[in-house]
Amino acid sequence: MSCETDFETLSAHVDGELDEAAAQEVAAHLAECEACQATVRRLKATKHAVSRLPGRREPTEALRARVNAMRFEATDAAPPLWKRRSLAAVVAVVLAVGLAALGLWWHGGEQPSGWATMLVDDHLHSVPAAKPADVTSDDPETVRAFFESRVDFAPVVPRLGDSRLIGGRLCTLDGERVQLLFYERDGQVLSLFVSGQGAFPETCAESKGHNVCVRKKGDHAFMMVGALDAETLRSTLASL
Amino acid sequence: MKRSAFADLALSYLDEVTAFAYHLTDEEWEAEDLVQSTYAKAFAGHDALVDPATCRAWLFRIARNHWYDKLRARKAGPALELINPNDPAAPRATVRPSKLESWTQAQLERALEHLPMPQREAVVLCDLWGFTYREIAEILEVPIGTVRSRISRGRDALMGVLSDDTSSGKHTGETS
Repeated sequence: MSCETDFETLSAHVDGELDEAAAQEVAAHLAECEACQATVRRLKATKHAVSRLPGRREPTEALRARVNAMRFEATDAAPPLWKRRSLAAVVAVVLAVGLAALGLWWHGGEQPSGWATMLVDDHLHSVPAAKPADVTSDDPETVRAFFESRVDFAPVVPRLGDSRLIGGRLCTLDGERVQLLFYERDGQVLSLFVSGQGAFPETCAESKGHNVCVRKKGDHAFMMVGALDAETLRSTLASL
Repeated sequence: MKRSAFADLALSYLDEVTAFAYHLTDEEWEAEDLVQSTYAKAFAGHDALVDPATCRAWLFRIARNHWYDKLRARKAGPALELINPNDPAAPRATVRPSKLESWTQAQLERALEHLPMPQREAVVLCDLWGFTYREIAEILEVPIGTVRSRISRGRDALMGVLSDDTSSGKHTGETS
């Protein structure tokens, strides 16, 4: 009888990739076929030899350091303000005291920080070019209606001077749903996060070539992110 | 999956991703650049990782895709030569030991380099890094049947290069 067990089946058998029925069939065949036994021995030897090849190189210390640094740029190692109400309040106080002492409150300079980096990351990940908007419209009421009953606060969609409304996404930040609105100005997409929490510091910061400015109004906090300069973002928020 | 947890998990594979990058390119600066780009993309898109158990294969796929994107962008021929081991003009291993056990690392690496790239990467992902066929299929973005075929043909060619016995193909022996 001609042996019909092909090389490919034996190769998959060596890898344990055959289903139970096929594996049993091959095992039964191997018990009787010396040629296939020899082929399997050679396959196993080849597999074993390749498995003993060392990795070509380990990462250099410099590479390890650079890659490890990425985690601090894109992780919650420094928890963002809006993620925990209590922490947000604490950080807000610290920032307020620190900035006030420096005479930087609201009209002040830039304070690179973890929360700014996190907002910029979320902006970069969520701009419509990267992710389709949940609602696309330049009509504030249409966009506001989308967020109705989807967030735990009264949604708002402000008109922002020279910035044109594009649409919005429902954004979940550590379990808390907030509005993420997209505007366009001077060819740039701006993200406006709207939270129902009021405990946010009114300041501006820079991260990764983007600016972040925060303004509180009523029961809402508005956090605007974009590649425009901080003064433009600040004046845009001032029009709220 | 929280970003900090993802970072811990992804960075635990840094050594393997680096080794894989060196398998794709022998140039140190390119390998390091590839590793950095891989992790930058992974951190930026970690939300796309649904099952943490697939993180390792996911990182390998990002690295591989990034590397081939880079090659395509250069519009140059593949830096990794696709050598047909059956081509008489193809370079051959200079030493052809008669016993499998006597293969040295250098001989094996030369033999691997003789494989067409699709077969070589399938064999290496399976045997060196221990990925399952399903994981390899995800990394290479091909059907499992293709993985199985590439590994089989790669081993067949590898054995042909390394062994004096070149009759290791689809044998037609007789059952007893």
